[in-house]
Amino acid sequence: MDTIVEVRNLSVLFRTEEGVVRAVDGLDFEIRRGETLGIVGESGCGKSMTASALMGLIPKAGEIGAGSTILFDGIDVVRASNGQLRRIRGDRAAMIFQEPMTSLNPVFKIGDQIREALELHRTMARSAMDARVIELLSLVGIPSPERIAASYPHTLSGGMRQRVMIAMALACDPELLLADEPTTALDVTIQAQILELMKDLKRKVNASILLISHNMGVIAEMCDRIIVMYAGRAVEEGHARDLFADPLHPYTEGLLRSIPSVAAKRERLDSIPGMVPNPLSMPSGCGFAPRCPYARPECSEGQPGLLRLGEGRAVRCFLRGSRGEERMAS
Amino acid sequence: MALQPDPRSSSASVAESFDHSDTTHKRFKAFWKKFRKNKLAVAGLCTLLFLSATAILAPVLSPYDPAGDANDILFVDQAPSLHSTRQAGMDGVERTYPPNLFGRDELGRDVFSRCLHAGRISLSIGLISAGIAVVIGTIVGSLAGYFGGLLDDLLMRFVDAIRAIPTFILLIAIMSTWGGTAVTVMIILGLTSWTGTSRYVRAEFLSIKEREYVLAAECSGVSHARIISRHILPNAIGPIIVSATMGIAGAILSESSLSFFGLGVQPPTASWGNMLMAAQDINTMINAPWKAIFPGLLILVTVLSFNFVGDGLRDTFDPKLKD
Amino acid sequence: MLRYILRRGLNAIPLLFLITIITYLVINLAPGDPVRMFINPEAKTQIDPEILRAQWGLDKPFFVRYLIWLGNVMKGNLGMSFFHGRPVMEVLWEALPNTIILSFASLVLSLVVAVPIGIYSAVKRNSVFDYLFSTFSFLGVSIPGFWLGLMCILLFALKLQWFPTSGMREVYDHVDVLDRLRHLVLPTIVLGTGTMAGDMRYMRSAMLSAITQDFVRTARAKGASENRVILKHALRNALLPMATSIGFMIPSLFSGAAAVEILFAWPGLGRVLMQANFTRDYPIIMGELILFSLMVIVGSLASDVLYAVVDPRIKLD
Repeated sequence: MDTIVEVRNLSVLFRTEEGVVRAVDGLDFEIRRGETLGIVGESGCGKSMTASALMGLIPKAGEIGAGSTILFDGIDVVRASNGQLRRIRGDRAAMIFQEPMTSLNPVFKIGDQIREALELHRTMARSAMDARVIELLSLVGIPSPERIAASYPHTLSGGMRQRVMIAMALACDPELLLADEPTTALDVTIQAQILELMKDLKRKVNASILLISHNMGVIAEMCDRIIVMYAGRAVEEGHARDLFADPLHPYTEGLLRSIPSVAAKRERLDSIPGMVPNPLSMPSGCGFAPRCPYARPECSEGQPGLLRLGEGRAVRCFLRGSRGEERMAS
Repeated sequence: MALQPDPRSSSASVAESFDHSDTTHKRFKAFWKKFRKNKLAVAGLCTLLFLSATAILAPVLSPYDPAGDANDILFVDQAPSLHSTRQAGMDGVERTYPPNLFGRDELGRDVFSRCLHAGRISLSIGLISAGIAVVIGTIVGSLAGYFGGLLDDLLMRFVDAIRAIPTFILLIAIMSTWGGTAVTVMIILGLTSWTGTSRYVRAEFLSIKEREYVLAAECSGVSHARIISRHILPNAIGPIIVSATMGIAGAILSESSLSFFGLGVQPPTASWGNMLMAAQDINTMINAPWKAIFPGLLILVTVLSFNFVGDGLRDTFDPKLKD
Repeated sequence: MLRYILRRGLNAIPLLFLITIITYLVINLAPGDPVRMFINPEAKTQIDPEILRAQWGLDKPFFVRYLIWLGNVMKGNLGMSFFHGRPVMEVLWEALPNTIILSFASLVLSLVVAVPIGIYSAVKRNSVFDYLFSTFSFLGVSIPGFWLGLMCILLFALKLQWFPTSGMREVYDHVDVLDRLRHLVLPTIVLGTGTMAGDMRYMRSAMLSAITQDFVRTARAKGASENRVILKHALRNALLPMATSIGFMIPSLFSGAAAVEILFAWPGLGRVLMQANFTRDYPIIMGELILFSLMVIVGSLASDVLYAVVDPRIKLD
């Protein structure tokens, strides 16, 4: 199959005392084999929750909305048994997280933790597993892999730990790699290193990647296609080049404009005014309307649907519809 | 309601010119609302109020004289009953005897009445010794936490030394040279149980000391005493109150242990602990178990209630501490 | 590791000195002739006061007396017991193993019960099971130990006659293990229940804290079964705070042991102390204070070492 992940109408709900929070609301997308798909958006827009849902790892308090479908290589993740999911996790689909400092178990050695990924999904001789661990550590650019494999996580820096996480994720040659803000918690110089590593691995390893970040720069470096999320919904979708050259949604426009540029001499940084709406009191109509510089009265009255425009582009905005281009001009 | 600082006043008093009076009232109401949600804590509180009331009203509520009277030898070790009895006393005169809800003890005294009066002693010893402990603990903890350095080191060493001696062992040792009356029990319990509070208070002080509003007050030249009393203590009050509540529970347990073994409150003054002393005799236990059951049950219920309330208070002050 | 132990040990020495000061103050500050601390007014053969005066410096000022006493203590001379007529050291040394047996058995019982329950309570948080054991914990810390002992004796020893009411053994001419065990059961249960309650809460909160850590999410993402996640990844981390808590449990364990010993006539240090209290046997009392504190410090040290062993993050030098 050409598509490894197919998501239709994904909703993730949390029932709280004050009401129902829709962390993800009606998300539709696909990930094709070998491609790198990026999901970008502000904190709280639901991008991490989407990745967790794909792995079947949403928090206990959350539930997948009825009518949501997540297909991993044809397997229905939402209805799959725990056993089925466990066989996929770590083997065919692997995930790396935002906080390398706390994502490794402090009481076990690095080598043992990587080897566990192999123990769970492969039958191999101990020596073969150990060799593979060393191989993986070298693959992610860790010097003296034997020494590191025998060390504990607290002896490693953040960048090193994230490399270890990547090594662990790649242990069983996954078909899908989910990277949830892999560089956010790292220093800028280390961020660049990890990104380089990931680009390098992308060439070597034959996996699809789902990259999640709030940082447009990171997304731009790595991704073939991009989905922009806002308040739980996808507001724009497209190939990276198209999206950057010609953003259709006002939010995307705002995000791109807010990237500071060394070249442009400016006194103030551009930012999108206002704040992400409280999920318990979503505005009626378009969720972005209160902050949108182009907002019209009709934007607060109805919900725009996601309009597919061909060539992989889609946008959720009244003003960018087929007649939208005319409206914008006027 | 003066919420705006007076621009003419000096910067030193800026930090203090906020009127807290109505915000305190509001905070208390919010606190109470949260506390109310914990049913066990509320149940505990009601139980404590009830027990305190019975203790205060003991003379009124007791059907019998707790010290007993001449007719008692007729009723030694009598079982609990819900009915009054009519019987002739030692002098041949017929009297109506009120029900002995908890039975009678080996000297014929009504256990229920004794329990009521003993409650006064046990509860007051618990409250006062915990009070003493909290005061000492707060002083030591705040000095150590606030001034830090050598003073902190010395004080904490001292605390460690006291903690290293198991409390009951220390109490037995002290009682052997100093002990005897209810008052000495109170004081000694207070002097040996403040270490827990001091550690909590010290921890609070250490963390609050670094916060901006304290640094701001220091920069403005506010005196140490003022900083401690106005800025830090009100925020540290949470652990102190929780500590005090748990302390009362602990003090009641300690006093009853000491009294049970003959080291605390001495007869004829009754405390729940020393009422159980007689129960050490095996014959007693077989023939008249109610003497052993009821005072102990009262201790259990009281301490349990204090623990529920203390736990509820802790949750209300800082739910993060719970799980 | 050796350096770690040595460092901890050296740290404990000033503490011990402080304890000796406290001990001496507590006993000797009470009004009265210091001589009475060392001379038994009821002894049939009176020791020559001059000898005692020389050995303990009884006519010298307070501070000097303390130093002489301290010097003697460091040499292992804790004086003569009035009641037993033997060196204090000897009397205490005999009673010590019995206290250790009781305390150790209770500690083991407490942990064996509390750890699994704590784990299960954390995993099944807010379930009926959790509330049940949470209530049990509250009861456990609120119940007076001696009263629990009384009730157990009433029920198990007197009514049901399953266990003896007191003592350590009834068979004296040889070591009868079954007999010893029968005598050990009730005291251990009574003492263990007190610590069990606190341990359950502590284990529960340690597990909860471990389960919510990020590395647990990583383990799940790797495809580990829930059992593996809980019992390998989370538990191993939760045991760290539990290891330290053992050090804190020890003083209250000994306090409880004293009460239990007195109640069950168990011939341990606590019972000896109680007898010493009634006979005003001050040398024993002072010796007990020192010995118990020493045991607590050693126990604390052992707990620190245990923690250093299980937590790879502790720097050992």
